[in-house]
Amino acid sequence: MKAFRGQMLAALILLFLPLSPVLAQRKKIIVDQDARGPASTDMQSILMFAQSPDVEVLGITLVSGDQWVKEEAAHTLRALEIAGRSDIPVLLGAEYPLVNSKEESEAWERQYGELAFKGAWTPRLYHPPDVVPELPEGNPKTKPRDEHAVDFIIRMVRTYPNEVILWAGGPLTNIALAIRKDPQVVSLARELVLMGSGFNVDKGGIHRINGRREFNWWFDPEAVRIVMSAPWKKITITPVDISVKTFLSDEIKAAIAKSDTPLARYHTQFAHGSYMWDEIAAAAVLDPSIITRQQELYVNIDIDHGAGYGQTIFVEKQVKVPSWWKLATVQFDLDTRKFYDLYIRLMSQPAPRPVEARGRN
Amino acid sequence: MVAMLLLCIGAAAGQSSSARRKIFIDQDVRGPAGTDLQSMLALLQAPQAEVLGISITSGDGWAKAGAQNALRMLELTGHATVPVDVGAEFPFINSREETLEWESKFGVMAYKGAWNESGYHEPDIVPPLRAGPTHLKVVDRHGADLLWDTVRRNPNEVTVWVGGPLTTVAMALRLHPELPQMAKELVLMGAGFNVDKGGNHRINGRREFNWWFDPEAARMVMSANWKKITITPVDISVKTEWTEKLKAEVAKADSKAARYLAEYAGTSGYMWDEIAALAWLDPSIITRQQELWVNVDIDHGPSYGQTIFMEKEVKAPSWFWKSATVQWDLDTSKFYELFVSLMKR
Repeated sequence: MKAFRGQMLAALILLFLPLSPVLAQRKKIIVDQDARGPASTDMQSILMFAQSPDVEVLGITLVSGDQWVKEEAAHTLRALEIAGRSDIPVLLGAEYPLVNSKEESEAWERQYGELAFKGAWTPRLYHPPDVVPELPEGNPKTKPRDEHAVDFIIRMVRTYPNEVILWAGGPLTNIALAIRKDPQVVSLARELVLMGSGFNVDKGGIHRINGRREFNWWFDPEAVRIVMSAPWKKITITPVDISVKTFLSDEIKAAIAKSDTPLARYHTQFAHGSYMWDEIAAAAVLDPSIITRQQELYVNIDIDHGAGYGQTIFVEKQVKVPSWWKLATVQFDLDTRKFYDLYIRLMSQPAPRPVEARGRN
Repeated sequence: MVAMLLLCIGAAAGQSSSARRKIFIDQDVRGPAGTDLQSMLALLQAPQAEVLGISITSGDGWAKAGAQNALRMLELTGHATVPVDVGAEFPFINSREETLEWESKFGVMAYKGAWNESGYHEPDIVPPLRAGPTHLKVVDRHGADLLWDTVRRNPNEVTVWVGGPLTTVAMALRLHPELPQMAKELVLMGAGFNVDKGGNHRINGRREFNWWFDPEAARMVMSANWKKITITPVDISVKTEWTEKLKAEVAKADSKAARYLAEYAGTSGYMWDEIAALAWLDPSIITRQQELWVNVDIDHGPSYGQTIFMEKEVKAPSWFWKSATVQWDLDTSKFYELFVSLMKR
């Protein structure tokens, strides 16, 4: 009997041995983000990836958007220290969008009305790009890498061809610069996943009722045009339409407050009620089954500098379109309970033990 | 004592007059010879200029093929030590496909550089060089990085000279926002104002090829904080002409540059970029110039890529409008003489 069981065990091991590299292989991801801090949808999505054992975060590439990039770097470094993930490289990217600017947005507003939110250009929060205000969560001790975020993206995609998920939670300036600097990036990346754009939703836009002017895409419309016209293997979009179906409630905060990790305490102290814009885009990568309704559409952006500047444009798949229109899988609905559970679990658990540092990164 | 002082002053003066002016060339290339390479050659030949590096951007030709043509020219003319690398391969937003759609609405353009129907090839292809293959190699860096590195290592000293579309410069700008204040100045061939020839629709000089190829890049560059911008527009280009006679004059000399032109130069064409080069070497060839507010239309409609401009008296929002010195007229004899003399060295 013992011998038979031993043979069965050996057989089972041999059966499942080939699977082990597959099971051990985590998805490689670059998190490109306008990482406002402390906490906030931006940072929380970064932390979800940092906390997940299922992805290997090659690096966090920062872009101006919700805040200026230098300030974002300080908040990101600090958040990673608190989460025990200072092994993840942080790189600074584009300080300014390609064409849009604070001054142009002010000129636009004089004609078309004041925008409710302009990220780093919001008047009541405004400071110049070089200023990094005191961090309420404490100043970081760690430093970002010297390499430019755009060069890092190019280098990683070339080092791991067909493996890297480019995940963008902010304006697409870095991605656009990367594909114009190295056109091969588009075909070498595994896929593009982004939070941005809006379709038919009456809240969440930067003129609130107009969901088609979504902040990330509006901050750098020319970058979106470049990125959305490129032949990626796959594009997945988390739009405003699905963002506004979620909310970081006091209940969720309380659930996470039960945990006593430094990260949970950071969350308890600094996270605030908000739509969970970027967290959905992160969760959907970690567990695609949270998405209950999605649709393939042709999606792009209006770059006319008039009344429609920065608005999403889109057409149903059946329409015959010229080739600069690309199909994207747009997420419209989710299982909120499953999503919140995933979020609470990730933010409550201890930091995953970091894998041996890879020299290549 | 006085003699010693005079000697020192003399030596110092000699020192400063022999200090060469630093320049980085960003150029599009259709070769061999032609306005792109001839202007580059003039700067390389000039004893008072120090060409620190060259980046080749797509425009008149695709960047990879252009870089090979540039290297071959350097090889044949004795300038092989100057680093050359490849800059931006594609403009930011404009494209061959968009252009075809635009033309179906607004009319076929006479010239589209790398996107010309006749002789079209894909960007990766390098057709066999008429001047023969080169042994030289491009530097393995992106043109935008070479440009930035050059400016950064020589703060306030480097003229950024651009003879083609502004894609590489705009890319460097967005990667390194300190660039425009760290460079000495921006000098470019591009834009057109009130001239009835030389445009992509010939009679419309406002759609000048370089700026039209990448209007978004021109918008980024022309709204940036350069210390000084100098523009050689179509308006002045069409006042010059490369001729059989000029070529023959150059061919009399036995210098490497002269032999290169004798072998490969055409016998006609405006001297678009050569003016921008020679005016930088010797500003006295310019007889009339004017400061204007200058930018570009990036509306993707009928005016896409056209120069927009206003007189200085107009109150212009400074985040958008920057002042440029626009060259209108030149002493053509002086210009041709200078060009020929440079080629004979």
